[in-house]
Amino acid sequence: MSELSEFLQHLANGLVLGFLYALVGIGLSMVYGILRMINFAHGEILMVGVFLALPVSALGAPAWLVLLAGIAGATIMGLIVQWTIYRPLLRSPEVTLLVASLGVSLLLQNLVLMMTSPQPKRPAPAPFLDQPFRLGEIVLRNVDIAIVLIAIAAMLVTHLFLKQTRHGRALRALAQDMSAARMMGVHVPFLVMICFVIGSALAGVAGVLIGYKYGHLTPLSGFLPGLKGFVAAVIGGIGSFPGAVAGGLILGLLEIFVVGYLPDALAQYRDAYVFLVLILVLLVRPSGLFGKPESVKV
Amino acid sequence: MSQATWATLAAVAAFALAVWAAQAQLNPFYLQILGLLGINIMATVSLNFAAGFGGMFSLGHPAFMAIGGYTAAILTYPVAMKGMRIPGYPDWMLQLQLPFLPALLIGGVAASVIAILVGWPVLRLRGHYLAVATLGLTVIVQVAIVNLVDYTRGALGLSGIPRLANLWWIAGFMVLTIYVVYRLVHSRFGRALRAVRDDFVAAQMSGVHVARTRLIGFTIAAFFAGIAGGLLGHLLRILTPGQFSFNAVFLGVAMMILGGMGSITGSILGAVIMTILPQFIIPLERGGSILGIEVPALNGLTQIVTALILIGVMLVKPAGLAGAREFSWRPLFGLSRQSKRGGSA
Amino acid sequence: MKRRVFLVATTAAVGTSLLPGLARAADTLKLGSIYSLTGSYATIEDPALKGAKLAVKQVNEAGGVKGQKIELIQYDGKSTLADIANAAQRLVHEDQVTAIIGVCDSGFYLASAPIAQDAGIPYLDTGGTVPNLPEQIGEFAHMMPFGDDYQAYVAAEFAMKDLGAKTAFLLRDGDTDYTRAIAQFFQERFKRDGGQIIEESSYHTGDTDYSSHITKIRGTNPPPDIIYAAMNPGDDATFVRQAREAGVTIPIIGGDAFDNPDLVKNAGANNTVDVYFTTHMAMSTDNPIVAKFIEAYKAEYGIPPENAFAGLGYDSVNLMVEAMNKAPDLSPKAINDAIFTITTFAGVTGNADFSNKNRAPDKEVTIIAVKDGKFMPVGNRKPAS
Repeated sequence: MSELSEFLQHLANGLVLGFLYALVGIGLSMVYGILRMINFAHGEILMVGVFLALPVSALGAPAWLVLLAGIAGATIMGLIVQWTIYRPLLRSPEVTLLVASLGVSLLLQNLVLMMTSPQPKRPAPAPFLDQPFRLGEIVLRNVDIAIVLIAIAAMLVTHLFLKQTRHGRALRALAQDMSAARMMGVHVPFLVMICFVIGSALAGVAGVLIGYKYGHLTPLSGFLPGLKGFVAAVIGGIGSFPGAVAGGLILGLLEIFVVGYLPDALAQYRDAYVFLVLILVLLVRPSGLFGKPESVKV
Repeated sequence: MSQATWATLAAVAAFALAVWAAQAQLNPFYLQILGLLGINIMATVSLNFAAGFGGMFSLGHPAFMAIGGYTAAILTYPVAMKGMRIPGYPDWMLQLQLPFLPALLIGGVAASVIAILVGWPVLRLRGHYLAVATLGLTVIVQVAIVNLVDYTRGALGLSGIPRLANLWWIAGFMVLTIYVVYRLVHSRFGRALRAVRDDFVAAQMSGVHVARTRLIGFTIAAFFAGIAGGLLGHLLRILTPGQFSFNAVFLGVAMMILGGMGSITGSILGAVIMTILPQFIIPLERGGSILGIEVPALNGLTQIVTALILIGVMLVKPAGLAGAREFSWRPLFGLSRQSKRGGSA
Repeated sequence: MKRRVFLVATTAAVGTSLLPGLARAADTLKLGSIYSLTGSYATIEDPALKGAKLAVKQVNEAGGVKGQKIELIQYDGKSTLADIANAAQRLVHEDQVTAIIGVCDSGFYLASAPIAQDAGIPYLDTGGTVPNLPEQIGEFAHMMPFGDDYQAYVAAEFAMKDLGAKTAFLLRDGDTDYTRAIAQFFQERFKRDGGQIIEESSYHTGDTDYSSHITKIRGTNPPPDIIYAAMNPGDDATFVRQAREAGVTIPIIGGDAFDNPDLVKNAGANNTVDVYFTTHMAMSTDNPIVAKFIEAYKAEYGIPPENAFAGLGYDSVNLMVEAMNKAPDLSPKAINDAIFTITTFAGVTGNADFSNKNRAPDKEVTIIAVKDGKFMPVGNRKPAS
């Protein structure tokens, strides 16, 4: 493998990983943008989504149907959580929501564990997705290409929704100024619900793709994607849609290249570098690379 | 002296008596649970000082506990084992073995020094941005402990720490933490701190040095976190990086918010619930026959109940059990005009 | 405020003591266990508990120990250090068990074992593999598995002698002690015998994406003869699959973490060609003890053992029972002393000698080759000295 191919392979790996992080980050970012809430249970929504899709996969359903099942599962779970727990707390202090989401995260992890088992699971193999996809010396799998394409498609749809539809514009207005938007006749609870639907659906997409790519799912599988998605959203500028995408890609590339090119004695500090970059970004641009400076309201 | 002061003194005396009785009578299991409770109270009250009273919502508290814990443990570690288990230090350090108190205090100071170095740039951030940056500190410290094997014994954990923290030490430092935080909150400094929390522009205009006030508050909180870490290591006799991970972050925040941000009483309450309650549920998890009824094993029951309590309290009392109120003797004695409002629960 | 603390503390203390434990039959021999059934260690410790429960059931059906039935008192360690230490305190001081088995992590063992040591209760480590754990704790500490050094040395010797490897690429989980240790011991022996470690690479606990490490392997010129993968259970299949699907056909050697049916199930039979690992027991073997265990496990739980830790949990109980039978009386001290007299224990995880007070038992390491999706034993070995 030539050095150029090695570099390009790392680049491709980083981008695929980055798109996964971005899919998770968008949901977190949108919720934060409106509620100023860090939703620690977002990763668990992802996990529940893909766990609900596993039986569908076991029945021999094609991958696209499993994907839809995962989206449906995550969306329903997200709605249930939002409706029963977050909705009554809409006007509570931010930390109340944060702790409630911690509770939800703990609850879902252990409920799923109680109902299944701690052993890792995977969706039924999808031969087409597992086939290699070659570009010269660069080897990916079809699932990697699917991740990139589906992620881009999902983002485009979300973007168009936010820009072109009435609800989308209302959502953006809400993110800018909730009380003003309310006065303009925006139905806040409904829009918050829509926001959770979008975020959860994207998490469901990410969950099923993670299931197919890595084939390793446990009740704790949501935690790291949730954390990484959150870091991505903050680097990019939490509350900003393009920011979450950029943050995800930056994070994916950073993780891959640190391991790829640093000697192991330094590369094993990977997560420390990630958070160091995060802190530096916050210090230089507190609202992230793409975020708009937040008016002081803390 | 007022009636309330007398009551407080009497309570302290009763508390000391209780500690004495506990240390003499209870078996090591209860002593360990009570020890962990005391440490959790210290950690939560000090976190609340920074977050609730100072408006610095920090997720870096476990990092300070780790720094204080490891520093103290390395200082009290038996010289005979140091060269074998943590050989990275210079000779004079390997030959050094300090008594418990100075080691604890140095641990607290070490945590404070890091708090100053980190806080100086990072405390410019506010709200969630500060939370995320301090979460980064927790991750960085944890990664460092895992990888600096010659200095920390890495992921295996630094075991063989002498058992020096009995209930007296823990109860003593717990009371000290509560007392200091209480006095600070009600001092000129505490008023400045709260002013900065509530409106830093206004605080600045009325002559408060915002950056310095925040940094001092942050550092004091880190000092007590460091001491709590030192006590933890010398209670459990082992420190591992896993003890200071995300779980610790979440647990700390949950204890604080459950009780109420900005209430010392609340922090104590939160720590008591989150430490003691699981001990009642754990025996039920393994199933078996309870009062003649066969119950299947319920793995994760403790976590599920804890989660439901967290969610439930947030739904019913979004500001936490105590809100921002404090315990007071007044309603008990029926002295106060305020007793109608219920004082604090 | 202070009074409140006092009140709460005392009521809590009194309350816990009043709380009835689960009803227990009299005249039972109490065996304590600490396994994490929640959190990140559940994957390996849940099967260990299932193995232990199966053994207890079999022993009791066969009449128990010296006429007494064994009662297994289990607490969930929750993969959390403080919970594990609390569980040990509870077993020793509340339930007053005669002996303890538990945990599959050396750090967890180091956190809980001093409590049993101080009380003079024998405590057998089920799966933590730091070779000198007993030496670090004291005479009441015992280990069921072989030490990390044994299996990594055997792996290195197997790589050089059987596979003719001269160069190796080392992949390890940099966050856990077990994986760092076997990587270290492998490297030590491989270099001593004239091999060369081309490159080391660390991943992190919970990572599922190994593409950067695999790309590094592909970029090594000339390619390494073998990959030594010091991984945690569950990571093995993910890595093997990704490596093979990226076109890396170099032999992969792993540790006992590879010993689970999910390796083939999740990686696919065609991807597990040239995969070898060292382990405690060969799941598909004609050894009648193992075959019987697997049958009984299937009958009890409806699935074959999830991984080798099921066998270690099973053996942990049986070793304790053998010591109890050998001991002149059923006091903890007598049982503890009896363990050291067991020199020919025939367990599902191999034949072992427990006479060394300071170290992991002297036990053979099984080498497995994966062929057509089946685990084929290559042989049982001990490292050359």
